Amino acid sequence: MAGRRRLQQLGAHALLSALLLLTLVPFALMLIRSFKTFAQAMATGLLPALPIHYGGYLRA
Amino acid sequence: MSGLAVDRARAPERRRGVLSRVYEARLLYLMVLPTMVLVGLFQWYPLLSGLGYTLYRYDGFRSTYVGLGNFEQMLRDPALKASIGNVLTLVLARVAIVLTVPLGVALLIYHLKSERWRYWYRVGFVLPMVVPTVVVYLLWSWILEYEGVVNTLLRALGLGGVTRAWLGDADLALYAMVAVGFPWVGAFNMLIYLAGLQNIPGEIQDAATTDGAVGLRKVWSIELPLILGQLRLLVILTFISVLEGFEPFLIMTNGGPGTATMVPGLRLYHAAINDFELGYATAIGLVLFFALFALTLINMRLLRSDVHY
Repeated sequence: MAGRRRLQQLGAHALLSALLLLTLVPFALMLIRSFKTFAQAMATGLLPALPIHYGGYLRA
Repeated sequence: MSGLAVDRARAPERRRGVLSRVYEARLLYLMVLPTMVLVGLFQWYPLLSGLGYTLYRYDGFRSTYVGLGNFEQMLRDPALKASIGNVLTLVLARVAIVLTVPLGVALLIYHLKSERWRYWYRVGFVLPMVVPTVVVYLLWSWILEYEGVVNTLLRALGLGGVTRAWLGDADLALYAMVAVGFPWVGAFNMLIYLAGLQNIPGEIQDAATTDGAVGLRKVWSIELPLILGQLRLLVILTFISVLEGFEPFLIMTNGGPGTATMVPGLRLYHAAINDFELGYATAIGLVLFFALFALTLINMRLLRSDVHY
C-alpha cells in the first residue's frame, strides 16, 4: 500500500514537472532570444549564442 | 379591517421607516455618494448612451437615424457570420480545456504529500502570469511563424514536410490559435480550483477515506461535486472571455487569413476603429451583451450546485 502510494506521488511529480517545463518553455525562449542580435537569432535558431548581446536591455 | 386595508395603513409607516433609516445612516450614504456618482458617470452613462447609438449611423461626428438598420446590417455581414462560427469552435475548445488541464493540475498539486513541493509547483505555474499578455501573444506568433519554434522542432524531427505558416493557413489558423498557451494550465484557473479543493473540510475527506473512497473514486464522488461552484464560475468566465476577447486575434492574425480567425469582438473593433461605424459597433456590442447574459443564465441553471457542507 505504502509502495503504491509512493509510486502515485512519483507519477504526480513527473506529470507536474513535465507540464511545468512545457509552461515555462516559451518564457525560457523569450529570455534566450532577448540576449541575441537578429543575426544571431537567425543563425542559431532556439539555442543561446555568444557573445551575449545586452543591446535590447540598454535600449529599453 | 381587512388585510389589504391594514397593509395600506402600514405603508406610509414603512416608508417613513426606510427614510428615517436612511437619515440615520446619512453619513455612510454621503461617503458612498462620490463613488456612486463616478460609477454612474463613467460606467453606466456610457453604457446607457450606447443603447441610443445602436439606432444611428454614427461616425464620431455626424449621426443619422437608421432605426434597426444596424441590426439588419449584422445579418448581411459575412465577416460577422464567419466570426460566429469561429467563436463557437473556440468556446467548445476553451471550455474543454478549462474543465480538464487546470483541474487536473490542481488535483495533482492538492494530493501531493509534501507542503514544500505544493508551494513550489504553485509558484512555478503562477510565474508566467507576470508576463504581459501582449508579450505572450507576440511570443506565440514567433513560435507559430514559418521560421518559428514549432517548425524548427518539426524539421529537427525529420518532419519538414508538414511545416507551414500555421497562422497563415486558412484551414489551420483557428486551431493554431486554440494551441496558444499550450499546455493550457492557466494559473488563474488552477488557483481557483485549488482554493476550492483546499476548502473541503478535512472531516469529509476523512469520512470518505474511512468509507473506502480512494483515488479516482474519491475525486469523482467527493471532490468534484464539492468544487462545482468553482467549475461553474470558470465555465462562465471562459464564455465571457472567449465571446468578448479579441486581443490575441488582433495581435496575431488580425482576423485573417480572410476571416478564418475573425471573432465578434474583433469585428466590433474593426467596425469602430477602422470603418468609423460606431453605431454598428455598438449594435454588435449590444447583441454580444445579450448573448453573454443568456448563456450565463443557461449555464447557471445547468450547473446548479446543490452541494452544501
